[in-house]
Amino acid sequence: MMTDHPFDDETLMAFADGELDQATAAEIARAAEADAAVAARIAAFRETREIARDALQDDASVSADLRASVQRMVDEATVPVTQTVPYRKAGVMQPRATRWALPLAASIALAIGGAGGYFAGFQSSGDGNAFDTAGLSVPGLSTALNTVPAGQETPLGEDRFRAIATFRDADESLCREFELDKTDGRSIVAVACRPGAVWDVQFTVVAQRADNGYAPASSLDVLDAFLTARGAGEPLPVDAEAAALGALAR
Amino acid sequence: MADTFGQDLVGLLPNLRRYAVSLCRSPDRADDLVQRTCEKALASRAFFKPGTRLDAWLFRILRNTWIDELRRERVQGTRIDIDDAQDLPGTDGPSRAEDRLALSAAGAAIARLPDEQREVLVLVCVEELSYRETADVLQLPIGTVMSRLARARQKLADQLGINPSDERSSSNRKPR
Repeated sequence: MMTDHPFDDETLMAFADGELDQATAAEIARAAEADAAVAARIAAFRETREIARDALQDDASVSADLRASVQRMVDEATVPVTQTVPYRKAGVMQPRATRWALPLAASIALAIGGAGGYFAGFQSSGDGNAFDTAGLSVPGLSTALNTVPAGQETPLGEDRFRAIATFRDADESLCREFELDKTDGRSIVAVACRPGAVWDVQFTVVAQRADNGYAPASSLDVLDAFLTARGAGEPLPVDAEAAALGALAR
Repeated sequence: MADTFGQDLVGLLPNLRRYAVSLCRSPDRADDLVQRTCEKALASRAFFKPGTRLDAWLFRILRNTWIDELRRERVQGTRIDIDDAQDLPGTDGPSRAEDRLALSAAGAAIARLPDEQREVLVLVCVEELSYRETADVLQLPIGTVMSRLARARQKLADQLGINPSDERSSSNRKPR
């Protein structure tokens, strides 16, 4: 048993890194005392850790320029911001075309081909249930689209619906960008338009929301590409949005 | 409530830069990447949960930003100037990475590691994230983090001549 120790490299590494529970750690400590080979392997893991740390110290040097530039950003950002929709407030969509000039097709391929754990889907019009895709078959979605003003949230079943912006596309159809936070940690970024009497979901990106709530920025880039291709206009101001939504109720 | 977010961010610049260099292997690009990361972090700071590790959260943003950039370059490949192209990561593999990383034997050995192994090594051994935190940053199962980390360190040890008496690696060697 002593020469043929049962611990694999990963366990010994976890021991060296202090990642093991107490019981296992104690067991390994005993094994290391009894078997020099085990001790040597643990020591090697400790050593590689130190070597890596020392070797990369120089990379941590921050130039005065970089530091100053970030400090400036920080100073500018400390002006209090009202938080409605943190990373994408209504009205932040403006420089779309300049920000992201990729052809739409390329962007879609990139989203679908990407390994990043999100997927983009485009719903063709005329389907029986346009919402029945990517977790959007949520009761009350149409009502929420009809009523919730941009920047506001509402619970939708177990999900959270958040209206981001309202705009008109190149055909003057009313469109709404919104997000749906699912309970399973996914966040759906979507655009629905209303060319006729019903909402038609035309774009969805499903992003895995992190524990920290940070949705991959790439999903929003893909959205920007879609909006650009769609000829989306600027987000409607509050009163214009209210009028447009009010007209739906009639 | 005292707002230390901004100062904490500035305080972590060395760590961000080090991680950025390990990803893009070019000091200039690393600086750009850190800058964009800070912009995004400030814009989405409402998502940061106080009491959790800010560095891990920032690494995650930095990494996502980097991946986005690589994708963008892949699609826009034909538009990149020749002058910039030599900065492109992954085009010529380890030899350039060796040039750019530290000149020491250890730095060179780290540079020779496959990207995914180097990344895990940097997060755990240099930035001192736990396995769990690293798994969260990379969005990988913790088992994958551990196996990559073990392999990275084994390679490092082999290349630097550490642990030559390891019975395991010697038994794997072909008899002369």
